[in-house]
Amino acid sequence: MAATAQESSKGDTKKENIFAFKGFNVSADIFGCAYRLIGNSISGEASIDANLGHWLFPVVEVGYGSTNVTNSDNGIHYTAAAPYYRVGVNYNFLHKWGAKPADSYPYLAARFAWTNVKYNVDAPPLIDPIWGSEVPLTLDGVRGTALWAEVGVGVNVKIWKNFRMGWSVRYKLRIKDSKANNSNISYIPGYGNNTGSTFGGTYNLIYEIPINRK
Amino acid sequence: MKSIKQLSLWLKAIALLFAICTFGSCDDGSDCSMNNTSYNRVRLYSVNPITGKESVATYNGQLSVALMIEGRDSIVINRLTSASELTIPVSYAQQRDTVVLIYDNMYTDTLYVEHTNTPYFISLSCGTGMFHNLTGLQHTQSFIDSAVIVNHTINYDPNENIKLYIAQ
Repeated sequence: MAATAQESSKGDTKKENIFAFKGFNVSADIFGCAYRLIGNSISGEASIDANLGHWLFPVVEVGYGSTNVTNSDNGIHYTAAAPYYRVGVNYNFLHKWGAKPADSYPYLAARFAWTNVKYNVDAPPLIDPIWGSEVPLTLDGVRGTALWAEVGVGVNVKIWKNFRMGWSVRYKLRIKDSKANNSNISYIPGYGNNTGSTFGGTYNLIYEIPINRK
Repeated sequence: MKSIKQLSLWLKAIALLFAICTFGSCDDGSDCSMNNTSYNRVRLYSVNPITGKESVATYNGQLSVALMIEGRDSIVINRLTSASELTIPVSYAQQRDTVVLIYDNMYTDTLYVEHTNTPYFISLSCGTGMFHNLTGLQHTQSFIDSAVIVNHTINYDPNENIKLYIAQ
């Protein structure tokens, strides 16, 4: 039996499927490009979500991130690049059943994300403090996998006709990262530096494709 | 009234976000090892001849440790008293180290430690390190009765790698 909610506008008692499909939103994240201005990483991202009853938005996000950085303290040069993927939902927590859909709404976001990254390391040789020998360390094309979860808040605002924009801030929690025989992943595309947790953000330009505006 | 309610929900959402971070152990990647050197950790043991039970032993005299480097010995631990545990450096390039234990500057034992070497990239901020895997162990028997590798991996973990059973 389908879940329903009371349609209370104009006093009628018509029941509506609370998961009724209302349309799509396609969007592009431009916040990742701004990382280049403040760091050595850059990413681009596109997403599509389905509007279910104006309150629940299952979403798929696909992006590509890369970094090219040298640590001036230890001289290590690290490059990495890979696509990343997220699936999850946005929840419009101010949605009123039976009311007209809001032009703008806040939402809670939850995501599960993963990437399979390829990275290269060019490090100065390791110097044995006792024997004095030097051992080189250069890694090419090492592959690693990372899984993480994201939760956060965001807003989606109507700008003009079907054009919208929005932003979100997210707390990211690493679930798992693979370790190669002789290295760890240092930068995870879509996540950031490989720490146990971190924050991130998105700034989206959105185009709404309505199917049913009710 | 409606706007106050919306503001309240917003504040709750933001508070939730920070609460998750606070209790979710955010870290800034500053968990680098203070010492980028891995050591072979050796502990002395003795076995009670009656019960057969082993226990950590202490050498009550002065114990020094030297490494043979290009035919000459180089002291790395000098006249340690009441020694029960030794942290011994491992060579980066060799696959067999010669470790000399010097008891009271009079008697010696020699350990021949065989190992592999793996240069390791830890992270961009923590740098690199050298890890090892113990593959073999021989020894002389002045004071050492027997020796056994209990943990083959030598990295930054403070695990015991070798048990040295000293004669009673």
